[in-house]
Amino acid sequence: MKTFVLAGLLASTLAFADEVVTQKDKAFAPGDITVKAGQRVTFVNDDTVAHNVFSKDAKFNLKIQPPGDKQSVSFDAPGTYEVRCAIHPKMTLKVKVVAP
Amino acid sequence: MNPRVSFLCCCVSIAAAAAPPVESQAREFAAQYQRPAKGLAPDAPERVALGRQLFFDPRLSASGIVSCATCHNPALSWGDGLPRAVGHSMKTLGRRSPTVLNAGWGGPFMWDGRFETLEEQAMGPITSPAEMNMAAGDVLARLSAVEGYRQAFEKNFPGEGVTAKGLASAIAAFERTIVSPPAPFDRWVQGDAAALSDAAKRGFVVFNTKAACSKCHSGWRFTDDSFHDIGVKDADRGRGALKDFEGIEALDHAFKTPTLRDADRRAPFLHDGSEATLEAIVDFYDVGGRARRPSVSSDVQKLSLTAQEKKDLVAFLKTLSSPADAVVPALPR
Ligand code: HEC
Ligand code: HEC
Ligand SMILES: [Cu+2]
Repeated sequence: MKTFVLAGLLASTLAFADEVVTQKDKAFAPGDITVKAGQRVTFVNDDTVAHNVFSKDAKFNLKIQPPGDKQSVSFDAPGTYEVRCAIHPKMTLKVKVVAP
Repeated sequence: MNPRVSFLCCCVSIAAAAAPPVESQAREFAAQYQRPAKGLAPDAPERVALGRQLFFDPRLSASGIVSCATCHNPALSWGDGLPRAVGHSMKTLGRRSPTVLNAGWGGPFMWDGRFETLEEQAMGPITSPAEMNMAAGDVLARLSAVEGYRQAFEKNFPGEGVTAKGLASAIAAFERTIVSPPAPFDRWVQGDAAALSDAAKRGFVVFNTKAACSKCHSGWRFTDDSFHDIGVKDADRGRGALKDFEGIEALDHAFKTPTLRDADRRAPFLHDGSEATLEAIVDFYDVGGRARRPSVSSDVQKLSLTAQEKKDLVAFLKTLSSPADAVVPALPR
């Protein structure tokens, strides 16, 4: 499992459990999440097709995730980010990052 | 005799005797392709009527001979039957004209999805030098000179005059009414088992299982409105050439999944018209596409279909076509 660290991963952030977002039937579930700064979000592909999660705002690209794949990203700076699938434009996820 | 063994034997013989008939095998996948019970929210009829006139009016082009319908011809299932579109001054464009059938449910638009809405798309071809080659101001002036258009714009957009926004909105309203009538496949989905041949039913099963075409050609329009590199061998980078998607490998050479509704009336196929027939398309997928490059979708794989399975797939695809019908309007002079 690859981990994308957007800024420094502080020891304290390890205290939060990962937020899990699944990709199924070409949609993110849930489609809207709130996490604490430094918390990691794990993207699971529970679908039968490949996905490619990325965010221009949060500057990451998980590249192709075949069915069954899991990848994590940590969101370190408070703000609101739009996460999308590059392949399926209707797949969008709003991530709200709040101060811990 | 060991009772466990005899039990197994018994199961095997039942399975062999009663392989599920093709109708019930196919029926398992039917629900996902149900047409929506409700149509799109209807636009005002007078707006649709204006849009229909504009769509068929060659005066929207500099030469006065190219209308939207030149390339999106209802007689050719709203395409043009050419490998690549031919625009202003008979210049061949880089890509094939896609159909506008059922576009009201689709989007983003164009092979690379560069427009989000039909309204946004509509001014594109008019002002594109390669297509209709008309400056936006010129086309509005030309339409304003026609009494019938002045009145129709006034009725639809009171006090606004003939504007680009009104023109786009009317064309989009008309496009939303371009819907494919029910095909034999739809009658079968509704429960008429006799509407499809056994070959077509077998093909539909292959479509959803071994060939996994349904990974991308999903839902009643047979498209996921999404972007994939299926391995078409040309230099066009498709969606990957858009600035928004710089550095995303999966979008290199990726194009929008076309609808398969009416496909047999729209050959040649693909964004560059490089495959001539449905049989050729099935062969294309059978070998896992023609181009080998990292961007090719992992959902396109060598299929090794039998000759029978290929025939059945084509038989199925042909059941998605419905008879053409279009009303061509009289234009105001
Ligand atoms: C010279 C031929 C030509 C003319 C004229 C033309 N188009 Fe197109 N149209 C095309 C081509 C080619 C594409 C795809 C281009 C691309 O993807 O880069 C296209 C794409 C489209 C699409 C997107 C369909 C989809 O599913 O993505 C729509 C909608 C459309 N045209 C509507 C119109 C309208 C409305 C007009 C008139 C105002 C028009 N076109 C005039 C050739 C033409
Ligand atoms: C990974 C997604 C994907 C899969 C799987 C897939 N297609 Fe496609 N299909 C596409 C895309 C994208 C295009 C357009 C590609 C281009 O023009 O570059 C296309 C084009 C086509 C066309 C041409 C339509 C036209 O108007 O040009 C047909 C027919 C077709 N596919 C049928 C099938 C069949 C049959 C299967 C299964 C054997 C299949 N597809 C599997 C995505 C897919
Ligand atoms: Cu996706």
